[in-house]
Amino acid sequence: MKDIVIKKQRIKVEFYIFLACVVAMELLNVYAIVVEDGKWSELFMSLGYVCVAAAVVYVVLAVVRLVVGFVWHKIAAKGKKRE
Amino acid sequence: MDDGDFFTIFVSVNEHEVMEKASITRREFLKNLGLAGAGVLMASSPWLSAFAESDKTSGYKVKIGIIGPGSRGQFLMSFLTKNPKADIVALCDIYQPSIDEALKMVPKAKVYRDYRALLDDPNVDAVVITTPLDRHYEMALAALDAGKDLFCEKALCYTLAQCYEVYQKHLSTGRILFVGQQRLFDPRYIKVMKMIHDGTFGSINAIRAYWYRNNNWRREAPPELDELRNWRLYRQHSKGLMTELACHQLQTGTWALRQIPNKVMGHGAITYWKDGRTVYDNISCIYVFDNGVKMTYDSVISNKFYGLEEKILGSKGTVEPEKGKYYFEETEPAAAFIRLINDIEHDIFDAVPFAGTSWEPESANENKGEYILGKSPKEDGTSLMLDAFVEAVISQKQPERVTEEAYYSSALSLLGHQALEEERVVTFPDEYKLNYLNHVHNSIL
Repeated sequence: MKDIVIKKQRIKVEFYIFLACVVAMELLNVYAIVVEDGKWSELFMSLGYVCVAAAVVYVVLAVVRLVVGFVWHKIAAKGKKRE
Repeated sequence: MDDGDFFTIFVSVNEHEVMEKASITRREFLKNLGLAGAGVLMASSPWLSAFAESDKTSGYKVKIGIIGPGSRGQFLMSFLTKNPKADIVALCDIYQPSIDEALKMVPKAKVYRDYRALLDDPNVDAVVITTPLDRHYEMALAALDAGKDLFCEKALCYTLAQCYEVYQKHLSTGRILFVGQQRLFDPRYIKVMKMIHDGTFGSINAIRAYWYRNNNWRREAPPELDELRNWRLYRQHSKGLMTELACHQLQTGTWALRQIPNKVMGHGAITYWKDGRTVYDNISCIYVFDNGVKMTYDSVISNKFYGLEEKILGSKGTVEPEKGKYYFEETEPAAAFIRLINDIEHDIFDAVPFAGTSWEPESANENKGEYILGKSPKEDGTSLMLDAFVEAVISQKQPERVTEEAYYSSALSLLGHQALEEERVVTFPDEYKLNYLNHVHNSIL
């Protein structure tokens, strides 16, 4: 069994992707407050919901990236074989 | 009481009644009654002043005689025997099995067959009367005349005239008088009445009280003892559901509204338990306050689905003190973020939307409400009420309004029964009004 090595660089990248998800969900929260006539205090009070939604989006994105990465890797490998 | 006994109170920390839960011992609760914070409870429940000097009454012991230690009497004894300031020294009953059961709790108590002999006993400071309703009047008057302080189970007496006479005797003799209205000492009721009086639930416009059971109320007894054992079923001894059940709940209405209703109408019948009883098993009354607010009372003892409750309906919220909950009409909406997610979900997954209809009736609110004190109410006020009686006997201070509240709950239950019998609107008689709340006693009559 091979050891999986997670480099510092990879952790940094994943952290920034997650942060981007949080920012995106907080912007969605702003939109929700405007559209649903909520209170501006919910920018902070709903941080819990925002973080949970960000985590869900991050996981979905991670799955999508994994699938795309896998397919791309297979295509690239086939291309190399033909050469 | 054991120090281990405790109950939970909530302390209001903001004007919207966000509650912070604090579990305290009974001793601490009694001590806290002296503090300004707890003092505000006395505006709504002034009879709590009975505990104001509880620190000074340690070391004193009230000698109590129990007249009629049947099931209810023994229930009260179970609390009194745990109070270090109370000592049950005498029992009186004509039914030997009741005496035998009571003696198991207080083996050293002296036994009497005649209540007058008990009242003549100088060793007895106070008496507790838990006999059938029709005996209360004679015994209560005799007890007060004998210089004994008195705890009488509800209703106070069998007729309104008798209730009035006992009340006047209490005033003229200066003896302590309590009546078994334990809701006055139930922490849930004490707390929520303050909230009601503070206007938390807006203006109270209706009260819906009911008690539904499914049992015949009949105890096993040989024919010669049937009337004695099942006195609640016979109108020569009791007014049935009105005096045995309604009495407690009508008092909630007057406590919440701080008014006495002046009219009552109703109907009663025996619809199910046709077993020779002469009291109704199916009753319904409407009490009308001067401002048009109505308090309804229903009791049926052939269905228990809805149990019992006193629903207090305000313009801003509803209280269900038996359940221990209150509900605001308008609840805070969910966070905007959650509502947006829900809307997106509905847009994706719901069928073709249609406009709502104007004729669609309001469905019952599914608001889950908030607890007045905590999930499970720990007591119904009986032990606190008996503690208050003992404190009052020791300090010889009659707590404010406790007897007037009890007098009126008995009076209203008796008037309700009169309305059931006569099938007409009955008005509260002027001659039996006290100077209390919206009533003024007319001394000319």
